[in-house]
Amino acid sequence: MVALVLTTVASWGIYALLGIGIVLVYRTSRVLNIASGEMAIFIGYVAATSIQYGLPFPVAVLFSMGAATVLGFVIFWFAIRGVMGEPPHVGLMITVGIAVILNGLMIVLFGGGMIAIPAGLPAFTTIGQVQLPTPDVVATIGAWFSIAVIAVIYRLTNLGLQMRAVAERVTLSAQRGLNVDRTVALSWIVGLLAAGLAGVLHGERSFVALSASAIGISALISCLIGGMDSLKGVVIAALIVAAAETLTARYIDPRYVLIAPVAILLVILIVRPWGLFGTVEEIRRV
Amino acid sequence: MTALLEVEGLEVVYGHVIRAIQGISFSVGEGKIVGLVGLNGAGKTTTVRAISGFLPTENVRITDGRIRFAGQSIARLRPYQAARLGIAFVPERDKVFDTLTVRENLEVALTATTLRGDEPGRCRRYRSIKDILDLFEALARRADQLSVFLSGGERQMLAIGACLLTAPRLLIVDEASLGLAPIMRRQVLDMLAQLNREFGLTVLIVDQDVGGVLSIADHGYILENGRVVFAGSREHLLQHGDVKEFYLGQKEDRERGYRDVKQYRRVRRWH
Repeated sequence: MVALVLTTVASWGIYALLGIGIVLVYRTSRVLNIASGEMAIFIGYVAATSIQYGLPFPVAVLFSMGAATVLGFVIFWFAIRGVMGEPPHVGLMITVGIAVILNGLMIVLFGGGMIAIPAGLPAFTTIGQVQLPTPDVVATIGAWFSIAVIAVIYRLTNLGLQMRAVAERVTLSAQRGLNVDRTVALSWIVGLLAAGLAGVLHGERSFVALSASAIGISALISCLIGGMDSLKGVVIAALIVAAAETLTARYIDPRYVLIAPVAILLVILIVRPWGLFGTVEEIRRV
Repeated sequence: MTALLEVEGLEVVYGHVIRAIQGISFSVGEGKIVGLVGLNGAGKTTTVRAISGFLPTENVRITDGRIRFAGQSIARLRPYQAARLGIAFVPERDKVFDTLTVRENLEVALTATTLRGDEPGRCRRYRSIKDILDLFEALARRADQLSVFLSGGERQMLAIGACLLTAPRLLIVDEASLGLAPIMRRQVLDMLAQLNREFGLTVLIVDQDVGGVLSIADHGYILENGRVVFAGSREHLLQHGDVKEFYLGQKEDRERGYRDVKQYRRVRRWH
């Protein structure tokens, strides 16, 4: 029972982390990032491969975060910068393209097979009377610590303040002297770091593989349920998704894992199309 | 008089078709208050958006003319670069961040602009959030509330306060009095006049309220259909018969008939 809860909390953390990446990027650049799963697993592959080359787990994680930073900047600079301010479907299609490219790169660079990311720790951790699977413990701690760090950055630092300003009014931010491109670039980098870490932690729990980019779909569903522009919403919605998946796998049939969250999403979209915590987009005078 | 801002022969075209601005020239002297006034659609907002670097992003092109700020051409600057040169802009709408608190609104302005060295001519009287909250008591009471709950006058104060924190050299206020009660309108204008008097802040006011603006401006330019139709010092404009009749609503001694007004409009449009 405790293990089941832990599994849920670990998945919850990973989806929430990935979802926060999607929401951050959506808020500042109004681009719905379909490719977050691919980005996560790509960075996961970087970590897995560097462990295969003999790097210890912590160093491999740091190295993969470096890769995530570079990837975030490159994606913003070459793909997103030019379409900011365009209608939303343009950015959406670009991220579909990015997903395809990353998929190809994962096959070319890493072979696209199943690779584990071993943390090099014993299989079980004993806390008091209970034995817990270490990978889940690591994933839980890693994900929730990162979420806390991002929340602190977003709420308490100048960068977070500027991101929130750009998220609300791009024009006014620039009029106040904010370099909007720089702020959006940084939000993409933070988004990629969050996605990358989620990918690494997912790989640490099970393995990275091309099919593992389905975590992006779970995260996207969390964002849609929570409301695309609400960090709080995505964290709460990720719990709903993770719990639905875990319970379905355990009590119904593991093959239906992806159906449960989608069913919840459908209900939410009918009742509250803007999500549980999202704001209704106002209709602007043109 | 040294001109801080010089606009020469500015021409702006919307979507390749509409010439919204048809060769406007004006200048704003250092330490002066200048009013750019006219009716709806005269081209006031387009002119100031050209100055603050916003037109190229909106399917609008500057097809001719020069804009110089402190001797430097700024027509090709990006908006944030114009802001960092010391051009602070209070837009007509969307002037504060609704989802941020009053304090955070001011913080954005404070963190966005970093002054390098000792740039001359910039108004550095207001350096901290406390300075602004001391200046506007109404804001101090609501410092930790979301700005969405502010009244129209408080939003105007917050927007001007945020601009003051960027150490402006030129403060451009678009529609200083839009949607404000007459008494608030007076307060905003008086405050701008006070900032100008006490700290030598150069102000460019863009407004429809010709009388209000001319009560504090040193110079005025009246726009119609994308052209400057009257220009001159406050005294000159206030004495001018046409300005009195068509913008200030004061009747001349001799009654003008409908035909005269129509003729006047025609002359103005094509002159």
